[in-house]
Amino acid sequence: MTGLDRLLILWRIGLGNVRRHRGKSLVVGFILAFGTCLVVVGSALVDAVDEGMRRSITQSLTGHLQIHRADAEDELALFGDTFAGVPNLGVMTDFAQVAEVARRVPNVADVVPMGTNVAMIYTGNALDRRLEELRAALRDKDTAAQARAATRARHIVERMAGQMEEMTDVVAEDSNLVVGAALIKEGASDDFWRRFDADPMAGLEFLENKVAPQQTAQQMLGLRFLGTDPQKFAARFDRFSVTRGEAIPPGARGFLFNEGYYQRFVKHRVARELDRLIEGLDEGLSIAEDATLKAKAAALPTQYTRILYQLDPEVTEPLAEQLRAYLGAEGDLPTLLQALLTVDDDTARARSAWFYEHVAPHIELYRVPVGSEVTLKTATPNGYTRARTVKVYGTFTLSGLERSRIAGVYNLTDLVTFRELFGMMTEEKRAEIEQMRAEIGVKDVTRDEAEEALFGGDAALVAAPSERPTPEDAAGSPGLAELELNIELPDDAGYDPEELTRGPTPHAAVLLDDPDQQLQTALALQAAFDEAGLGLKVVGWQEAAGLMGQAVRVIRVVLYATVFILLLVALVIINNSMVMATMERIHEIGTMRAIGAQRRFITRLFLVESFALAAIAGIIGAGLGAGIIGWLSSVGIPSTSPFTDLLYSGPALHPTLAPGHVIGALALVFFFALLSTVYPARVAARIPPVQAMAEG
Amino acid sequence: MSEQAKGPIVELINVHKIYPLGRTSVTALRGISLAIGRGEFAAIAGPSGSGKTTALNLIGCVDTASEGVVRVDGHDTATLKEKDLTALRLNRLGFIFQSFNLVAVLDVFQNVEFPLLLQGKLGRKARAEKVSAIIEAVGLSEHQRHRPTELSGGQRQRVAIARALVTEPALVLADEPTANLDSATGQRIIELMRDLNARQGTTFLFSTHDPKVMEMAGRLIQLEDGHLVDGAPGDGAPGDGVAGIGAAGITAP
Repeated sequence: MTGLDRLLILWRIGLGNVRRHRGKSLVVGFILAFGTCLVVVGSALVDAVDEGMRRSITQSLTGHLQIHRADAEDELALFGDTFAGVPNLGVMTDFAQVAEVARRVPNVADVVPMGTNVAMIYTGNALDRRLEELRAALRDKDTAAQARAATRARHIVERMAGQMEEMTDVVAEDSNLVVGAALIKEGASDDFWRRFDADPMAGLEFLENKVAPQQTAQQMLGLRFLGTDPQKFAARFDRFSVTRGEAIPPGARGFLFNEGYYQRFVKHRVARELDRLIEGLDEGLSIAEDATLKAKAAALPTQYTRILYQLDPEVTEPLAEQLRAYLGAEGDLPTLLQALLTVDDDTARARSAWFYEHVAPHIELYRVPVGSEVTLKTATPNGYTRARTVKVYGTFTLSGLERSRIAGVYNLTDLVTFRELFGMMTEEKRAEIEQMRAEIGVKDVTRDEAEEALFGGDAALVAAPSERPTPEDAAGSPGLAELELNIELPDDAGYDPEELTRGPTPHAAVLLDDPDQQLQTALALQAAFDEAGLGLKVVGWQEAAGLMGQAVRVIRVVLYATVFILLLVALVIINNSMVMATMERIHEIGTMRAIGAQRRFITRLFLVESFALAAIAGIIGAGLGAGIIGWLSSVGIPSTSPFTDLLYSGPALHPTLAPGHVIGALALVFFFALLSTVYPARVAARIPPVQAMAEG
Repeated sequence: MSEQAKGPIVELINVHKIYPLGRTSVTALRGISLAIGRGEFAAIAGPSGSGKTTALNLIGCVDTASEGVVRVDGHDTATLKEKDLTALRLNRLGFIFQSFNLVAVLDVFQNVEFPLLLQGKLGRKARAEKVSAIIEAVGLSEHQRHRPTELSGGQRQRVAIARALVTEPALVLADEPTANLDSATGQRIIELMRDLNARQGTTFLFSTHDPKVMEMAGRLIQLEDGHLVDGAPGDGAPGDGVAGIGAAGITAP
């Protein structure tokens, strides 16, 4: 009863003073409200980013946890430094056992095997592909197809010869070109094609070995790929979706290009360059002013041969007609194509659209079309190369990471193909070795040492294991092809889907039913592996993601540091204004002391006053913050870069407000408000009652 | 008041008060002895700097003597701790100030209620009855919900008087209660105090330098330069002095 009464008077006076000292209340209240608002908005945003990032990363590649060998040499960094190659994690030899132990741990939804590697792909030029068609037709004895392919091939060689004619001056300067020009000229001659009809195989050899290499549009491409269980991956990682073609069917060897990689590296050079110009324009740059765009635009017309060589004879004249009409110009196709590709700020968009509508259908828009085959070449840990030709079933995207150059680098293949390319023993190879052993009686080899035993062994005979090639330095470098001891594996179809549930894998992703229980599950999982003596390590997605995983932590630290500094400033300002207010109120406080208020009462009076102010400002600030978050939630914060795509896990961030954000902000503000009042309250409590007697 | 009814409410014995002021010091009281009996209506008079306020501060337990004994309601103030002095002020003394000193953010009723809330002895209802009664006694029933700023000086001082009296103190101290009022208003305030003294038997001790106000006092204690000048028999001889004042002091207006 009496305690309540005293509280009543404290509130009366405290609230009264908040109203009475309006200036001070406004300044302090504004800071407190601003601080509260900042904490509410900031923590809601950080949480949203954290959640977005978690979704982006866990649902696209890492899962919630990753398992790898405890004695791994490197740390797993799926989104880590792209230039560091492939981290050496060792190999978990028996995935079936790992998965079995893991599935017994509560909250584990699934375990998906994974491995990453880098590979080189070789994309032939237009002539190469025509010659492939020709070879296939010859093999199948399909005379109609043979005639069609031969006509197309001849068309390309004639184009090349025409090109050489125009460049006579340049050719004369370079002895290599002189030889090349002579070979092309021969390939384009009527005489050659007469001989071709007589002996197509010999003609084909000549074209493949002597003429095709003269066309320079061939390229080595480096790429990074993930080997996994394609069905499980598609089912468990909800960010994954196929954008072209189809998913890799169960039990089939196959390859899916990452859509971003496909666009940036596999697309026809001219289309790519046009895309980049349009992207630049979309970003508000101008061809006339931006040096990079200007250089790109200037170089574009010189790429016209890349179109020209790919055009079939029957489309050249109609296309030339269309171009004459569109451009209102005269001339032959090469001239017209150059004119089409000569673009500026005004014409770029229209030309690009025209290109896609009228030219693109007649050329190979992607150098490795969906449905074709691609040969992946890798270096094994022992420095040998391996190659495997697999069908390109399609392309896929990881939504939210479409534009991210860091996250969008992974292409996808099945785990069985991955194992072969990684130099691991597959069941197929094991059977082969068994057979070999039976035949020639070699010594025992364990399955993960098979390659070592077969090809490695004596270190002195083997060149030091080469550095793993990275996609960047491999692109365009033919060196590897010459060094390699090429082990071409048979391009057979399929494998037993069960193989994906057992056998070796470098690491594995664990998906959880309740992601919020990540830490507990990680500990339980680690304990289960330790108990089973598997020598495995469990890491959270934050670590597994490498640098990216740290980003949110950094953002959080920056936010709280900002808030802390702001509140520290508030502390000083509140402190000062309270001390000043105390000086103004000496007379009144002295009076209260004189008529019988204890020091404690005065202290409390000040604390109540701050509390009241903090409550009012806090509620206003929190309300404002909640309003801002509500507004942002409905409008969304648009993503402006590939990095924010990753953070937002989509094209826009929609933060949501949780009670914790408001409670946390209010608690923080109350704490600082009261802390900043302790000193002034003590000063006030020491005012002697004699002050009441002073003139006031 | 009842259990302490025997001795005088205030007793000063050879009290000195020296204020240090930098390297020198100012002596405000130079050995004064006096006693004030229960129910007196006494005024302390004297020119500025004569020690009136110092004497009131010592009696009001908001300051302590440099030398000598100050006894209030039977307690030697030098022996009490700060906390106990505060409690003594709250429960046994009432204060009326020259510049009214009301709590600006509280209305009339709340200002008067304030000491009762500090005491925490009475329930809400009893408190309200008591506050209303005293407000009526000072003639401000119409203004219960007004803020001090909405009142005249005289009205404010009535509120202060009500606040001083609401706890039924043994002694009410008033430091120049009329100094900030015009003379007619001041006179009415003193009349109100005298009336309350007569009706309720509350002891009043007030300082003033207004001759008209002095005339209304039941007893006049004159100070000059830190000494008692007149009307203070027993100077230097506490025993008989106190007795003498006790007898002579109780004078009806």
